[in-house]
Amino acid sequence: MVKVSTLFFRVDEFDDESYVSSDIPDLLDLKITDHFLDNLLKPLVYDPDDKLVQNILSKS
Amino acid sequence: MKESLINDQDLVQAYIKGDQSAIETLISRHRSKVYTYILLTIKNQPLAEDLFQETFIKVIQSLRAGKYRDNGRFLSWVIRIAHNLIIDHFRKEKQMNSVSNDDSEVDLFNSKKLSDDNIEELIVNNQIKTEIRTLINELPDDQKEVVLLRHYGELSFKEIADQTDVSINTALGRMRYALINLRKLIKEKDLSLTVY
Repeated sequence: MVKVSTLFFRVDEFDDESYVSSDIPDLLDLKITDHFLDNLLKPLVYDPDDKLVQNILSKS
Repeated sequence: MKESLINDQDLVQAYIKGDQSAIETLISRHRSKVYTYILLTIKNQPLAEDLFQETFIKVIQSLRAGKYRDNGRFLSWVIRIAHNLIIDHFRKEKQMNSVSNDDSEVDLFNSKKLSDDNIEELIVNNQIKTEIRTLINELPDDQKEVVLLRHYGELSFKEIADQTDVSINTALGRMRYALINLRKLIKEKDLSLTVY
């Protein structure tokens, strides 16, 4: 029987999570995961306007 | 002692004892990560700015009310507050049956740091940011949520599981599939994500 995930129907080509099981922790190396995310997302940082921070501080 | 050498825990304690500059240092230290997390989650700059302010105002109120349990994980705590405010916002929006998720483009030239760079680097950096943001936005929402909470909020998988109301295995599974999908997308799009 073919299992069809409806959870992530928006993007058909993506792998679904229907195989998530207790062996996942063994399959996910947290060090490698964090390293990958750090490398990928490091440039993706937005700084809020200073006015926002001043506004917060004025209310504090 | 330099402010940058004082850890979050000590700054929180200093603020509770009345040192106003301590909260300024804490906000200054974490503002970019918190703002980026909110912005990438809701994809609407004006709303992100509102929620960013709301988050830190709530942080300040909670600190004053003695609601912060000092476990040395200030950023994770702030991100959890932001996450809850985002959920509250979407709940209210759903109740009002109004959709305002206009996916408005982020003002990429708004960054003070980038404005000091030369224009060529600015364009290249903005292009890279756009490509990475596109990648992240192509992930299913559950996977994107785990990625953002882990990277910007530095939450443990136990905290992510609690925050998103799933088991740890599911949170780990979502991350695993997020990585698979991101690698797949990077390969498909033949992206080179190097910042100069």
